[in-house]
Amino acid sequence: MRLLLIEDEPALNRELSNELGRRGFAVDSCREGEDGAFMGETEPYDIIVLDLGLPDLPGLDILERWRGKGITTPVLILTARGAWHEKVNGFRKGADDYLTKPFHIEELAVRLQTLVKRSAGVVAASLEIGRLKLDEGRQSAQWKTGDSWSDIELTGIEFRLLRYLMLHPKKVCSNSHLLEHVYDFDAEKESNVIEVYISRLRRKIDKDVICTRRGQGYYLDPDLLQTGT
Amino acid sequence: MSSLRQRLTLSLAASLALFFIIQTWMIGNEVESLGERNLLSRLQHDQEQIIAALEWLPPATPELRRSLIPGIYERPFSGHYFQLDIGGTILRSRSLWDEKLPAQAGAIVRDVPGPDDQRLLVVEETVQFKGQPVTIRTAENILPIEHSTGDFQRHLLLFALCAVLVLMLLQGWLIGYSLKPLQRIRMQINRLKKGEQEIIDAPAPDEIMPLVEEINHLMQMMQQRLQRSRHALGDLAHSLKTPLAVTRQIIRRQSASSGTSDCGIEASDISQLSEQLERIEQRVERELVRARTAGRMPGGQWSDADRDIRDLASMLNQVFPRIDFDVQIDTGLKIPADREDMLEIFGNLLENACKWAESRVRCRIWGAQGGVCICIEDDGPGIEEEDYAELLYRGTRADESTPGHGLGLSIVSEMVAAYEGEITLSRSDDMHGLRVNIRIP
Repeated sequence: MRLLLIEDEPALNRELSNELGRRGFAVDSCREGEDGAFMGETEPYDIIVLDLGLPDLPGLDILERWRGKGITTPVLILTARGAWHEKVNGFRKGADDYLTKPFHIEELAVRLQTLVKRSAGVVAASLEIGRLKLDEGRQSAQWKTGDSWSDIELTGIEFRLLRYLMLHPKKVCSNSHLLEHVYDFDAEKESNVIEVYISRLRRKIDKDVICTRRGQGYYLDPDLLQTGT
Repeated sequence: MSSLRQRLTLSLAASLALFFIIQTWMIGNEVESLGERNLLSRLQHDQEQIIAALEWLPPATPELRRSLIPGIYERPFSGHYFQLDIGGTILRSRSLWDEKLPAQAGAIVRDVPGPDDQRLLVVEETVQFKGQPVTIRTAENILPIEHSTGDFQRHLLLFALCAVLVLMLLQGWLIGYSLKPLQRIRMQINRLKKGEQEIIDAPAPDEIMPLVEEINHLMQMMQQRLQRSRHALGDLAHSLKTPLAVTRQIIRRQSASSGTSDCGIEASDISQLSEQLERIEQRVERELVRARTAGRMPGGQWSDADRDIRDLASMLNQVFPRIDFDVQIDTGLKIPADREDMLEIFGNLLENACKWAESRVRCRIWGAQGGVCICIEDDGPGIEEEDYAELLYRGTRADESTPGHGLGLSIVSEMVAAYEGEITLSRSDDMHGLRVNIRIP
């Protein structure tokens, strides 16, 4: 899940980047409005956290610019002012959610997860497709064999990969597409890394959990997961 | 006497009435004395004529030659009388019949009872006739003169009364006309209070133009000051809350690793820090909202309430997708309040309702007698009656800062108070959750 964080306060930026990174987001952070606006326009983010009180370019202007250019990435705005009229203005400019500083990181994470799911068209509170369930809080998966669920521990990248595929079932994702959404901008990416993680997931959970379309990429087949009991 | 119009009318009426009363009295007096002077000169004139008619050669009995005496003295009780005293012999006019003029002290005596219930003015004169002193008294009934003077005075009074009435009507109109600019300005100030207009633009006479200009200037200044202070508060909020957010993240990180030995802080310290931090956050939030509140202020109006509330609802709907909003707002409702204040109230109340509601939140706004009514209900668990007061007034004192929910409600109740409004909590009749009723006059 690629996340863009635009927050000018260095300490908060650092803390949030680390925390969100630990919670399964591939975080690109940025402290200036201009840079952030540019990154939001050029990189395929799944979600953006935007602080409104940026020194060089007001957050609302950035948001307006993005929406004007047809970028529909869900945006959560952070505001220190906390005034409701500001939240309403943000919403009118195209924000999807708001959070007033100071906030609990847990709340931010929950809001972000909800937002990501909502933008992918998932209404349920938890991610569940047939026999496969994803626990976003613990970053682990659950697999149903017979009548019992078994927990499967996942590493950070495995979790991100599985979540992305589960959020976009049936969608065939190429290697490079998955790389873009699972790793942040600065990460060292090797060309076959996705392949490696896909096969690890198949080993850990079930070989049917992820399907391959030769020459195009990987996808998750919900029908296969439903009937596989 | 609070009304200028009343004051002018009364004082003008009083001065007019006083003027006419004095005028009537003076004219009446003047006419009376004029009548009396005429009378006196006539009586003296008659005396001379009567003396001329006297035929007397002492020691013969004095006699009057009747043909020389004016006929009016011959008719009984005609109102004109004379009486001569010539060395003890009394000669009287025929008009006196058998009566006598009473003895008198003084040359002119008024109001002497005469025959036939008449009131007489008697003039006495002593003249020397053939070496003998002759006292002659002539008298005339003054009742007819008094009557006619009275009539005249009454007529004068009546005329004065009519004149006062007419003048007062004219004055009323004049006062109304001259006070019209004031009336217009008063109406505009009323509209200003209701927020229907932002400045006074009615033409004003030179005398009150400075006042109007000053009001406009003050209003403008107030608006600017509010803008400035809100801006400054926003900056303050930003500069306070971002460090608070950082601190919170650090404490959180510390508490996450407090189980391990490498952290230098005790777990109890961390929880205390975190609690203190929470208190600071609430205090800051509360004071900022308090300081941002504009409160009742002339010239402010929330013109687009409908759109704002609906946007607010659909925004909350994104955050709380399970909630079904029912927003009912009177069409074209204009609320005489500051938009930012109102959004703060609605934001807090609706968010609160969303947090507690099962699936439904209803928001109704309608105009009522002398104000705007707001009712927000949810189908959540609601609140026990004994906690209402506590929720509304929590944290209003500096030493009270219980963390937790409901701070929103007490902030709202404070803002409502800034509008001299009322807020009441109760249980919703059909939805069974909390119902918040607000009335803003």
